[in-house]
Amino acid sequence: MPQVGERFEDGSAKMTLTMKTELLQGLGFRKGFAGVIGAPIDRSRPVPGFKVLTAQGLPPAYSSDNFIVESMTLPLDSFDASKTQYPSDANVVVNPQTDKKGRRKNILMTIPVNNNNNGLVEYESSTPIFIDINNAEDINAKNLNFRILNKDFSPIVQADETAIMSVLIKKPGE
Amino acid sequence: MKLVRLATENNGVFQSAFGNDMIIEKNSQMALLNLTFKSNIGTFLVIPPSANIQFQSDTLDADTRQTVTMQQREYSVNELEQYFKDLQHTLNSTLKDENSIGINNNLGYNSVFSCFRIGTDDAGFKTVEYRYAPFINPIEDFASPISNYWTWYNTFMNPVITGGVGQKVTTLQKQVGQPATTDRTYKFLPFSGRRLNDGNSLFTARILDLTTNGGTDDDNGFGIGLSKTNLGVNFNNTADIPPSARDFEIRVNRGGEHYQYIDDGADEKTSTVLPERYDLGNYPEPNVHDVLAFNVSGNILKMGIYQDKGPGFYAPLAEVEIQPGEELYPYLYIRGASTNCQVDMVNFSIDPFLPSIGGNERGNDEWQITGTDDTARYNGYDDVIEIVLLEMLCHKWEKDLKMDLQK
Repeated sequence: MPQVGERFEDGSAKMTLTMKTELLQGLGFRKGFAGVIGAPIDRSRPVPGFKVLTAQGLPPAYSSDNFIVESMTLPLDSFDASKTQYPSDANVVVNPQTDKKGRRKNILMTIPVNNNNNGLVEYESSTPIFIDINNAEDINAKNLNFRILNKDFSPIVQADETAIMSVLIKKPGE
Repeated sequence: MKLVRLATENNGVFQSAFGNDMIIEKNSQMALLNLTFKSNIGTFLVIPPSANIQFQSDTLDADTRQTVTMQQREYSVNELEQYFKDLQHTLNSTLKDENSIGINNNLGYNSVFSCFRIGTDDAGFKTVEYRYAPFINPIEDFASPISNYWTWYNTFMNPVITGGVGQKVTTLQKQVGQPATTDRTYKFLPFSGRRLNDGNSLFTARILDLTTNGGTDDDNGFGIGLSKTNLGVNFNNTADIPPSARDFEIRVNRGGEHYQYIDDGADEKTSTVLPERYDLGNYPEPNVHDVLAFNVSGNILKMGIYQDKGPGFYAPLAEVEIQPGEELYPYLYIRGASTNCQVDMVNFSIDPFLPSIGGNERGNDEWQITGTDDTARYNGYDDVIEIVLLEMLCHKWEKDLKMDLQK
């Protein structure tokens, strides 16, 4: 007959914890995590009878944001420098402790607006800022595709309302 | 100049296919005029219906399995901590007495006195932690004498430890000559924030000897309690326990008088339960004496008395649902003089995530497993624990299991 301590002491105790995926994602466990944790109650810590399961990322909570509107079909003369690392063979002089990696990105606009209570974003540009498309020839653009991204270029999760966007396109001299 | 209006319900991805020509002349420019959308950023998490959590403490025994459901609701980004608290509470509700012992009524299973915690590691990542909660003697840890978990005033209180290794017994009483009192000034309070563990837990005290002082006042017995307040902070030797901190209590006064209890932080209530076995004069064998107990199972706090009226006989006083984030600090007070009131077998299962003194700040590394050599097994109560209390505390538990109720 086992004692209370034996199952902890000899490492034979094995538990199963099954949680709904949403609950785990709220802690920072990655999407795609099976939601089932089957693990021995081991002595991984300096104390017995202790099991720790650690999330792979931070909880997906944002209290502030800066959305990005990116063109997916037309190139735009915009740049981003938010990455933290350069490849080791990059031909640039850089301080890796402070300098961010720069690159051209098709950013139409950044929107530092967010309502943390209900997630509603209503942006109106009082003075539209025109970005060069730099097209050397006329383009017949039957497909105009854009996307809204989080500040880290990850896709947003849209609530159950239609998103509306209006863009202006002007030719030289207008 | 052209204005193009686009719409989407596809997570912010706008895709369009115009049936007419959309000529963009050489060296044109583009600007965003306006944008309206609703993200889920304001809502941190949506708990769907049937958000089940299933915990099985032994994968080889289906009877150790418990399934609970997290309440359906939305959490905003400002309610992150509330979500962690609610999730921890729901996880702890999976830990129940009846599921901890398995189909063979086996005390060896590991959700006997254990708890979950939602923690944070050094990198800031959240953790789900599960740990066994040892059932300790708060007066003296024989393995580490500096690690007492209660504090008291030596002029008032006299905890007597007798017997050598393997025979140690702790008896709580007032100092000789200290008078009978009607308040709670003669007390043992939590030291350094030691408290009952979340999850499945137990706090017990046995009447060793209770005789009447001949009076009629409430100055004869003792009480045990659970406070939501950390009472041991700024311990005052002679102060009463304030009424606002008396959240749950069980008190015995003398034989023939009903047990008193508090289950709502308000005034004492009189139960219908009378003390059954309580004095060494009539019952020299203390094994049959009444045991006052708080037991948390599935987040339900059960208050009651285990009595020698048949195997596992339990007289319930009250049940209260524990709320998320509530912390319960055990305490004990004695009213009767040392000639009339003695208490023993005082133990509670302790929060194992509290930091040890000078040790691991993320979880106590001093407590050993209940039942192993250097802790509670070496005391004078093994026979009581194995033969009597197991029957009294839970009639399902088998006699020959070795659970320690006293260090």
